[in-house]
Amino acid sequence: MFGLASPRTLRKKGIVGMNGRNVLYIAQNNPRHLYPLVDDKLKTKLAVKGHAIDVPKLLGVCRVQHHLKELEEFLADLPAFVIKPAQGSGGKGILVITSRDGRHYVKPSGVRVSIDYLKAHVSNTLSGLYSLGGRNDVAVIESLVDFSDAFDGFSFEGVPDVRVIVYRGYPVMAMMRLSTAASDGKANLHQGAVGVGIDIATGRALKAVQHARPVTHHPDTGRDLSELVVPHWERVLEIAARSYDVTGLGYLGADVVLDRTRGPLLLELNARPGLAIQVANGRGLEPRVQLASREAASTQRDALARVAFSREHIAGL
Amino acid sequence: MREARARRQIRVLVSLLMVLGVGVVLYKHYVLDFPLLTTETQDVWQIEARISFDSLGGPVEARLNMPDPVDSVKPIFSESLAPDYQFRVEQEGDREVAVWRAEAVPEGPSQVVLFTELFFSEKPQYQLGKPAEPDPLPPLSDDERAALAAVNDYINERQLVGEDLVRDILREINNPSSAIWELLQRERGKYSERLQLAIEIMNFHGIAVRLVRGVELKDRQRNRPARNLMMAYLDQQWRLFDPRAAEPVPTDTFLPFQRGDEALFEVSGAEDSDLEFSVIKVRRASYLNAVEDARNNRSWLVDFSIYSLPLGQQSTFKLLLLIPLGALVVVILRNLVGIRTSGTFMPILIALVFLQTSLLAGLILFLVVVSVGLFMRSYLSHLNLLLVPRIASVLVFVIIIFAAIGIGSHKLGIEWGMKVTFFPMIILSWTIERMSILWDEEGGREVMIQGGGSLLTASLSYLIMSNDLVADSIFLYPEALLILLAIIISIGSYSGYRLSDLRRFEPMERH
Repeated sequence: MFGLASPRTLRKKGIVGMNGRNVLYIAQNNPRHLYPLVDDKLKTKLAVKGHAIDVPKLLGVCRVQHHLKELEEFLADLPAFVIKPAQGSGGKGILVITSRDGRHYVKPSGVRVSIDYLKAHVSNTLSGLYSLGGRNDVAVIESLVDFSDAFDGFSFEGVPDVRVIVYRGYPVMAMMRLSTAASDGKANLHQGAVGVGIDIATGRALKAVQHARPVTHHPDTGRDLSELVVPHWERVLEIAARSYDVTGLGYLGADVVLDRTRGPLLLELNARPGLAIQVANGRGLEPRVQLASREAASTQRDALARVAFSREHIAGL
Repeated sequence: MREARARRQIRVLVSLLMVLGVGVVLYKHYVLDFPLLTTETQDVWQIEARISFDSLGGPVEARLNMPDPVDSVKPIFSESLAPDYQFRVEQEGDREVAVWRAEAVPEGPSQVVLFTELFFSEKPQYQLGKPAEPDPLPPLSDDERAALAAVNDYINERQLVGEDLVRDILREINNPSSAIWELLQRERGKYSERLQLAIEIMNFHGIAVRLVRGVELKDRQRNRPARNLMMAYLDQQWRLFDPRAAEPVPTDTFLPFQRGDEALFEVSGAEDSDLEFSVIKVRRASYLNAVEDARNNRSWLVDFSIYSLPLGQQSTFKLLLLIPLGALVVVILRNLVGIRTSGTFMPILIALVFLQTSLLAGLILFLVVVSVGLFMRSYLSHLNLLLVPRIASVLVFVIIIFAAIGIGSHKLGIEWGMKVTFFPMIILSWTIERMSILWDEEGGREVMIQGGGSLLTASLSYLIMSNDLVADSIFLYPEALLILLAIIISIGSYSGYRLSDLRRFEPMERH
């Protein structure tokens, strides 16, 4: 009625609202002191080392302004790389270089830039131009992900990633975010990216939504979204589950991308993952979270066993 | 486990705050007589009782019976206006006596004054007890006894009871040609003697009667002598009668200073003493009376409240006390409705500005400043400035816009344009900055949503904060803040759906 759902129906479906997420999931599972670990991408990267979680290779870190003098020499042997602020948000300040042209660096759009442009960008990053609240930051230089072609035609311009929600170590729900022309190449559901619910058990598409309305085909490329299958699904879930062991965050969003040669790579973690994933899956989080919570309280399992449990028992809820 | 304990604590805390808040509010309203509005007024009677006398040159002591408690009278305070005398109030049995003393008063005229303020409350304040058994009749002469028998016949014949009896007898003793009283008038020539007999007759018929002396409560009375009335216990309550007029007198037009055979006033060490009353009626805000009254009763609730501050500071607090209301609006709109605002409490500050500028002018000024500011700020986006210099630049923009609006509106004769200066510049700068970033990151639609949400929240806060009933209530009952806190805390632990959730997940109901 009036374009509003009845609270009773939503409760019956186990759908969690914003207050529920904040009070029941985040406040009770994510102690404040663990946040910096996920809010700073460099810290995340260093923390997951040795935990069998693959990440885009860390090439170097620019911490202070006088590192800038060494930047050109440092980049000499690197044909392709990404420079990003460790505490950036919403994809701001990410500079991608795909190849070299003599002394110049080439961006994905084909624009050639000089080393001075890179230096200015890094300098801005260090002084906090791109980070939350303008805090001083560091610039992380990492290898460029060689994106798998498994998703060709499923995404417009931008790079698709998989968001897995992990509750107390158990993957409970997953979604693929596909950028569209409307979302300006960004994988942001608010701005019109397509969200595809992914079956935890199989890695196959369940249903897709754009602007919270169901869609069957990608609005720009026209590909049938039901054909979408995430390769290396077991590994994707494993990376997400292991992220819990590293961070200790009980309610966690793991963003995973697929590299052509290296397979699934953890891109970043999120301590406040959103709820749109429920719409993309057509399912509520609550029953899955309940089961994961019970299992976590009663049984000790390693990451692989938790993934197996999720695929068998949680996926169907 | 921890969660359950936290939940229980919240429940206990919320109930505690609720009980405390509601309890104190009810107590202040019903017991301390706090009104609901600061604009409610009450008539306050200011009474001066002046004893003037000629001192004999030695020590002087003056005693005045203090006003007696009456049903609905609430005394505010009494003080002595006689700087040369030591003043104190002595308790004598069940009555209070004001006593002035001075060791040596120069010979000649002198005076002491008791200044009393009081008002009539809607609730009974004091229940004057039932009378004791009527006094036995004093010995009567034969003539008197015969007359009494005649009077009794007269009463029985007419079946007079209650008020009729009182009025009839009073009328008769006032009537010089009354046949029945002829006999008595010979015997008791003086009016006071006849009245005494009338009282005895009423007593005999089961009506307790006392003489009272006091002051008539009528505005602008100067130097009036004490008025003699009598009160009779009828229908379980004491009623006032004017014996001379043989008419009942409303109890709220008379303040008794003396009841029965108490002494009204005494002066020793002086001669020619006289008691006169002056009365003025003033209108005053009811809450001031309640505050004064509670302070006199040493109510710590009032002693340690904002009313103990000077009036100027009180009005500052009157504004401050409104802010939690704005916070409640923000909490409700954000956590129950799910409206997004730009900056958590920015809408409250904007609402405070609206209080100065009025809603429409405020909205127009806000929109003009922010949209022009956003336009100017969009140029800064290309310059890749660092954060602090960037906001500082926006601040300069804001000042320039203020000046432009101020000057422009003055030239055009739009006076409310000058009110733009009420807007907090720093907050506006941050709002522009945040909205500009939002525009870059999330697009113009999100800016409209959050900007609109902020203005809606600010307007609602303004409507509540500008409401006199609300503003007065929270000023008169700051304890209501505890209730507010209880509500805010319980919303803080509410894990149910927001209205926006119902909208957002509505497609899931259908598919």
